Amino acid sequence: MATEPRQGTHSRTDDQENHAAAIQYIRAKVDQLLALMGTLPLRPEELDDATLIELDPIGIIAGSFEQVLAHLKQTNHELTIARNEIRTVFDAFGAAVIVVSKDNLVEDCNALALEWFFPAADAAQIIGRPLAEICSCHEQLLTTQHPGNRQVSEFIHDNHHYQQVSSTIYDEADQIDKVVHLYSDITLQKRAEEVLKAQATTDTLTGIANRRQFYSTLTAEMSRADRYRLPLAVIMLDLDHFKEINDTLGHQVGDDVLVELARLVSGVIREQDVFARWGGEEFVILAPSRDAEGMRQLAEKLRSAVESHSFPGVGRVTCSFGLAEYQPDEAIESFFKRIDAALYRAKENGRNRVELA
Amino acid sequence: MAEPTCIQLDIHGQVCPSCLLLTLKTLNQHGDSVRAGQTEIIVMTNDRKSVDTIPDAVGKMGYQAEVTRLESGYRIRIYGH
Repeated sequence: MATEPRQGTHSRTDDQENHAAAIQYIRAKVDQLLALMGTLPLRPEELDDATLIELDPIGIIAGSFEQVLAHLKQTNHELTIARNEIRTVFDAFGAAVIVVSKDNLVEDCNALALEWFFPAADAAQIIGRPLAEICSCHEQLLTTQHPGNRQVSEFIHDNHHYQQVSSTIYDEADQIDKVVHLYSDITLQKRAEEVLKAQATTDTLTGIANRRQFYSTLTAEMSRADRYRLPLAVIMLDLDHFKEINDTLGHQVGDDVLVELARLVSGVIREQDVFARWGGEEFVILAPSRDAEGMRQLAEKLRSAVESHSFPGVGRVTCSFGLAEYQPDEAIESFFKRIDAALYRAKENGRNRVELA
Repeated sequence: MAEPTCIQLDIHGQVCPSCLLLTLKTLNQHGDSVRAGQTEIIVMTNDRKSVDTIPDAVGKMGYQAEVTRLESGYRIRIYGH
């Protein structure tokens, strides 16, 4: 104490002043705390001084803050758990994830993203760097454009087929905050699709095109022939006396003959010619841009190749050939009717011969 | 679960921040019980401002608040999760 206490000289006015100052101090502190609690300051007309002391606002607010802090602590705890949970899912997830900022800097990536796209790096070497700088491996990863809400694309990297789904995350002001790129390995799915597609267009026994595939190629060639006034002819060939082969030597031998015939014909025609099994022992050939005479020569060449070939287990086999040239704007049914008729005539006229419609 | 006990707090005539302080005082006394869902505090008030300040403050403390408009004012129900 710098000054001597003035014993007994305490005036009533002094006490009142001290009391008023204390009340003012309490009110200021209560107001400060109330502002933190998000409400208005206390006004003396709402709460007189005596009630103020009795109410113990500082005690109340202190108790409340204790609860606010406990709640915050609990929330933080839950947040930590949730964050760890998300991280675990993120890393155990069956897809690669790369999160980039709006400036296209890598903010995060999961274990699979590292394994697939940056096998030589660890996360620390990737995070914070521009995506464009760290992956020179393929352009598709470099999506710098904001993808809108969701953008799906596909690309091939390192012999794997990936599907990329890019989604934008917006902040509370609806501004683009970051972009999440999710990559799934769809290689197996793509391969299965290719196998299915091949199965749908191939004849199982001979491995050449099937009727469906031939039909769709022919339809396309017919419109091309119409548009460019190109010649177009189709040969249909049928094994002679195939029923006898099956009946006397068995279906296995019959099948072997069909396979051998398909192999033989494939060796004679050109790469661009379409050769298909029409059904049973019937085959069809479409040679784009070859006219009827060209097709007749090809059919003759095939007829003689078959005739002179020795088929294992059977020996000599012959084929009959019918062919027709496509008439502009002709319907496919009418075209086939004429081809069929030519083949029928070849059979009628003694087999092992070529007939033109 | 048993029906929670209701503590009625009639503060008609009081204005904020006294309303808030009175509510907080009650809430401090029964915090754990409210949090556990055993107790609910029903505040009856006719102060318009309390409808904002009370739910806002108790929300920061981790409670839920539900305001119902009554003829005589407002009913604010404070409860745990």
